[in-house]
This record gives sequence, C-alpha cells and structure tokens, in this order.
Amino acid sequence: MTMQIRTYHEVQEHESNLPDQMAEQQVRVDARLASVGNVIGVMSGKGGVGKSLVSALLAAGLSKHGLRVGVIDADLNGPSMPRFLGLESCPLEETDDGTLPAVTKGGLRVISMSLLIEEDKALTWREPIDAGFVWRGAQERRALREFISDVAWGELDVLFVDLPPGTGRLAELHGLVPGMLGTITVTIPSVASQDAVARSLHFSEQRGLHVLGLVENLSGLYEGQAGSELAREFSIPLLGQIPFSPELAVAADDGSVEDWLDTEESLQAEIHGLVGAVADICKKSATKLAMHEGTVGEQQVQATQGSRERAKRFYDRQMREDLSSVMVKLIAEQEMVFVATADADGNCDCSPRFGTPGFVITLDEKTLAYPEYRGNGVFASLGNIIENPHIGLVFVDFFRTTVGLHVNGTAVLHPTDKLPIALSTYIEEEGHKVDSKVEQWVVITVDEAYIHCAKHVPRMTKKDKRIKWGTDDLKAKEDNFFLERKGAHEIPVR
Amino acid sequence: MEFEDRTVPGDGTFAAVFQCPACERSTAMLANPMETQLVSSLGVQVGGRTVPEAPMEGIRSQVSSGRDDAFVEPTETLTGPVQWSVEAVERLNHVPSFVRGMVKKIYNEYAKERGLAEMTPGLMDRARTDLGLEDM
Repeated sequence: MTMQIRTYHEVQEHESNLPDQMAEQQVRVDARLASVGNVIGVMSGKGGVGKSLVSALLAAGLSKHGLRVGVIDADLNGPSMPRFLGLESCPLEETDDGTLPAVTKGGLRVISMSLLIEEDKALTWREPIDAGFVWRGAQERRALREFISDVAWGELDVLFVDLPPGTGRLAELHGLVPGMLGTITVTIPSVASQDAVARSLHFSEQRGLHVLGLVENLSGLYEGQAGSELAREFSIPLLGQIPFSPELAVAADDGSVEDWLDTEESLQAEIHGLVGAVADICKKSATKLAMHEGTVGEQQVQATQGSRERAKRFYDRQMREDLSSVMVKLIAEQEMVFVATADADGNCDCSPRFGTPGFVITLDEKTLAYPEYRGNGVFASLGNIIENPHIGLVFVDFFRTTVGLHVNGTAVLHPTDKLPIALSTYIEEEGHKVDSKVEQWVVITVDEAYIHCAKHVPRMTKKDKRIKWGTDDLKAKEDNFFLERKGAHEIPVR
Repeated sequence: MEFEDRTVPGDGTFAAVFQCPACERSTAMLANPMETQLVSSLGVQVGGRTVPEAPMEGIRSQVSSGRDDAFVEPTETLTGPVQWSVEAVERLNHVPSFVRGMVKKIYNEYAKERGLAEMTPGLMDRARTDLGLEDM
C-alpha cells in the first residue's frame, strides 16, 4: 500500500491565513513610513561607545536645523534615550491612528521601552523562566515592528533608530525597512572598538546596506585612530570626531542634551559639523527620494512581479541626480548616443546622434550639450523638444567596456548664434572644433543618470568609414534602403 | 478537515480543533507552550484575526514588567456607542492598567462588529473565547 502524505503547502488553509497576517503587518509598517522621509539606523558593533548619545545629539541638532525628527530607541533591554532627552516620565496617549510618541520640548518625537516598563526594572516577557530563549528574538522583533508601525509618527523628515550593540537588531530593522537610507556607525578610537566595528561594517556591506558615515566618539581619549582608519578601510566618510566633554556628559545625565546644543562650549564646532554633514545627507536624499520611488507605473509592475525590493536596491545603489566623473569620462569617449523624445501628447521618437569622440560635451555634472547637424529637415527630435522638454539619452560603449549609461533630463534648444555662456566659453577655452554644418545645440539639464549593465551588450570592433559630417552628398547619404525599388536595399558595405 | 475551534486554556498551551464536514469527526492539534508562544510572538492568530491588531498589542500583552502609568487611558472607549455596565467596568478594572486600554478597545470592537450596545461580563466571556484572549 502506498501512503500519500500531503505537504504543508498542499493543504488549503482557509481560516488562519498566517502568511496574509504577516503580510498585513508589513503593510502597516509601509503605510506608517509613507510619511517618513528617511530612516537611519545608528549602530556600532561595540557597546559603550556612546551610540545613544550620538543619536540624541544628531536628532536634537537636526531638529534645530528645522527638520522634523523622530527617534526609536531600539535598545529594548538598555534604553537610555528618554533620559538624555528629559522624557523619563511621560505617559503615552492612544488615538485611533496609534500611540502618540513622547515629545521633547524641542519637538523631537520619541518612543522607547523605558517609557513603557517599570522604573529600574528589566524588560521581562510573559514566558516560562527557562524557555524564553525560544521566542525572545521574535518578541523583540515584534516590539521593534510595533515601535515603527503603531506609533503615530506623523510627517517626519528623518526617523533615527538607535540600535543596541551588535548586528542582530540591525538585520531586523533592515528586514522591516528595506528602503532605509542607511546607517551611521559609531566607534571610539580604541583598537578593540575598531575590531568590533569593522565586523559590523562588513555585515552592512554583506546586506547591501548603505553606510552613510562614521562618527568617532571620545576622540583623543585613546591612542588608536579607529575612526580615520575604518573610514579609509571601508571608503566611507568620517562624519565627525567628538572629544570627551564633561559638560556634555552632565547634560546627558540630567536630560538636557537639547539645551546643551545652545551653549557656547568649545565642542560645539565639532557637533555642528557632524549635524551639518548629516543634514546635508538628509536633504540630498529628499531630492533623490522622488526619483528613487519610481513612477506609478514602475511601482505597479514591480508589485505584480514581486521585484519592489530589487528595484529599490537598484534605485538606491545606482541612480544619481548628477554625473559622476566615471560617467563624464564614458560620455567623452562616445561617438554615438540614442536620443528619446516625445511630443506634447507623449508620442515618442528615438533617434541616434553621431559625432567624433567627445561630441557630447559635459559642461558640469548637471549639464550636457550636443550639436544637431543638418539632416533631413524633419526635425522630429527638436520638434518634440519644443513641445515637451523631457529627453532620454542612452550611451552604449560598444568598443571598450560594453557598459551603457542612461541620462534623463530636460532639454533646451539653442541656435549657434545664441549659445549659453557656459557652452560658448567651453567651446572657446577648450578649443572645441565646431563643424559649420551644426545648426542647433541641445543643452540638457540632468535629472537622473544610471547604468545599463553590460551583460547583454555585444562588444564590437570599429572598422574604418570616412564620415563627412552634415554632408548633402547623395552617395554618402544612401537613404533609399527601405524604399520599394529594385536594388534599393543593396547598399554596399562601406 | 475544516478548522472548527481554537482553545487557549491559559496555561501556555494551545489547541486547534479540526472537523471532518462529512462524518463530523473532530481532531484536535495540541501545541506545547513553546509552539504556542512562538506563534503568539509573531503577532498572528491561528484561526484568523477577527479584530485588527491593536496598537502595540504585542508589547502590551507580552511584556510582564509594564508600568501602570505607561498609557493615558482613552476616555472615549467608555462613552462611545458601546455602553459598559457597572459590573463590566468593575471587572475591567481588574485588568492591569498597562493593557487595560487595549483590552477595552478590543472588547468595544467586538461588540460594535456584532451590533451589540452594552458590554456585560457575559459578553466579555464570549469575546475572550471568540477572540482567543484567554491568556490576557
């Protein structure tokens, strides 16, 4: 007799729908974060480096920069954020939208386990005393999820998540918020800290998490140079170095970190430099945010295909709002670019443009220009541009790297006798040779630039062909190829 | 077999009852405290959720060192469309204040969904069984 056993996945489970319940939890997280600009984890592989104090300083400092800031104290078992920010006894109000966070006098919105558990008591769970290890990880992950999704954060520019030492909670956070902006990693100068923090930075790299930068706390108190050495080793910015300050330590203990930022203490220059650097990161991210969410259509297809996370990783990793030096170099080597335009109704046209290497000029990291030679007189691309300035360029390096580069932006036409100063100066100063057959220049402001990967691009070899730019010579033009005439398609290979 | 009932007797264990629609034979699956707690800690309910997950439900139902004054008790829940009898309020006051607001909200949701105007101890018992709140 053959026994047939169905697997779990072959059983129709109508009532519980546990996967749907889990998915619904993630929907709640995503919905809450829809009004949050950036989520930044503050982490360290090492305990006792002043991570929470750095979080409090950053949060309070950014708030003074006019940003709307929230803080999740994700160190569930050793919470300290309310003490630093003067929120030790602060009952939380419940509303239909969720639990309201505690609010400091400076306007920071904060949630912490220390607001919820008895004073001087450890966080304990309802569990058999000898078997809690089985589910404590799941409980803590759930608590973190509820801190994100069940607190009525409102509109925030940045939500800091102050993580406990190690990497476990960071993994949970990244799992819940795969689109988080990144992490700020805190170390002290000591060699021991350097070792532990290096492991956590490796961990971030492995997960594809963006490390926004490093902060060295207690600078000068130890012999080591962990901050600068880790920054160099991992090619990440050293955002700031904070020397020990007895006054700051006192302010942290008595809950007046926000007030301390307004004092005249000599340490302020370092703190303001650090806060300014993180404020710049947040502001740049706000510009990139719209780009990194993709279009509504993109999002719909990504949802259908289950590729939203993969797409987010691509957006975060590859898309820029300006041209990098490597992109500028690639553009300077190209003799061809595909140009996509559309008229006011969205009817598209794609047309290649050619020139000698460097015919597309990079005026600066946000501006390109290329010449329009005399052609068939239709002006399909230029006609589109005057109706609709959006333009898409694709450069493909067929001959060397086989990498492609997408550049999207907005275009403006300039007759040769009315060039913008930057372009005319470039032509004059660089001795750029402009052919007399050029009729117009197209100047493009770059909105976004990103790679087209090499995997399907063939590598080609360039053969000799003499090109007369802008010529009207009929033999050179050979434009009968698709005409219904005998022999029209038999153009000899040149 | 179809899912029939869920029982949480309050000793950390859990039972799910399944019944054959043809012969009505029932089979119960018993879960030990570890399995029960693991499912609970994920924030899901075997048998499906009948009311939405309350804010901070996991923390409020699972943390045993919660402070009594952690939450400001919402006033609307006793004055909303569901009226609470004196006996029901008295019984509710025995619930630790750390979870009281959440429990009150869950009971109110339960009554509202069934079009019931008054919360009584008997209805609280029914809700506890139906919603699997025996351990709360």
